[in-house]
Amino acid sequence: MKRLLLLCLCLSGVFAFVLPVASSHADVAATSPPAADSEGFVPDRRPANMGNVEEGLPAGPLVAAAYGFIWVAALVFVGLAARRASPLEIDMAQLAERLPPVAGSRVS
Amino acid sequence: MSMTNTHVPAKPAALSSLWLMIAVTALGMLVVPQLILRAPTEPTMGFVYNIFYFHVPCAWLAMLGAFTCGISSAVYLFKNSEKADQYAVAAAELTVLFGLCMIVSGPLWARKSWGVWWQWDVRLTTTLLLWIIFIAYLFARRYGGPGGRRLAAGLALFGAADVPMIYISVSLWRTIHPKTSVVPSLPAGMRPAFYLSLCTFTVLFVVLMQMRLRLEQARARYVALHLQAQDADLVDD
Repeated sequence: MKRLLLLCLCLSGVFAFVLPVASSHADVAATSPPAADSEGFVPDRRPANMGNVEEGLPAGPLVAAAYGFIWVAALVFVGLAARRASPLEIDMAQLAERLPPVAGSRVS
Repeated sequence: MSMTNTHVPAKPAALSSLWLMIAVTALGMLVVPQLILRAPTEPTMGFVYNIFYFHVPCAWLAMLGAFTCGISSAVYLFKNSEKADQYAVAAAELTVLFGLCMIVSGPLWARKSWGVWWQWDVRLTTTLLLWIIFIAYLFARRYGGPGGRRLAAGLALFGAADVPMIYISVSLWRTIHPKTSVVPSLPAGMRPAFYLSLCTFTVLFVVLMQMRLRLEQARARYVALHLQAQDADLVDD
């Protein structure tokens, strides 16, 4: 239960904090147009191989999605490991209780 | 085979590991994004370049996990070391995890900067191959039967051999992927964010490795206990 609460806390931290911050920065970056030169031409700074770039594609959600995915994946990993460990610990405790409390005997 | 009466109760979940995980998570979520957003924007790719700050650490850690698994598997194969096998399986799972993070974050960056989600160039293809090899490792351990562990260890050797190929691929062949010289030549304003992000992810790797190792060690203790219980006729085979 404690781990589940921790998982929810971390997930809410990711989506409540990172996404709005990243989106707001992307909006600011998107709304500032490049300056035109004396003849009215706006320089194109894209490299030559970027002809297919969709300039309308927002960068903020992409960055936030990438970062959020990483942390969600890590937390899911932790949750799955904890889920595998719990029944193992229970089984070990039960076995330990059933074994007779005798002194150690070595058989090699 | 030596057997000792080791029926001590199972160790409780390591609280110190959990608190360290919480601290790493908090540092990652609070400090690293702040540094990334304050770092100078890359003039060509713009805001989407910020994916670099966690895509590269994930890639490095995936390769570190692959290398660790390969070395541990070699020790397991040639010296029959159970401890090395535990390290190998823990490292393999982390390779799959960080590899997945790299394979997801990369195309999100590529869609904006290259205009496509994926390119079959050498770096991307060999990286995908690495990820698939370690998924196959986990499947071989899970479903490979009695010889599954040794089969998986053999796979891990191939996976580890792929790591230097991934690293030098951008130098040997013409690729669309950025070169390895990007990190050493980072502008000064970007270095704090990158190196703190790298440290955060590395600590995360170590903590996850530690947690996963404890699970494998607990399983080994359980097997030892179960054998003792069988010898005492307390459980069925």
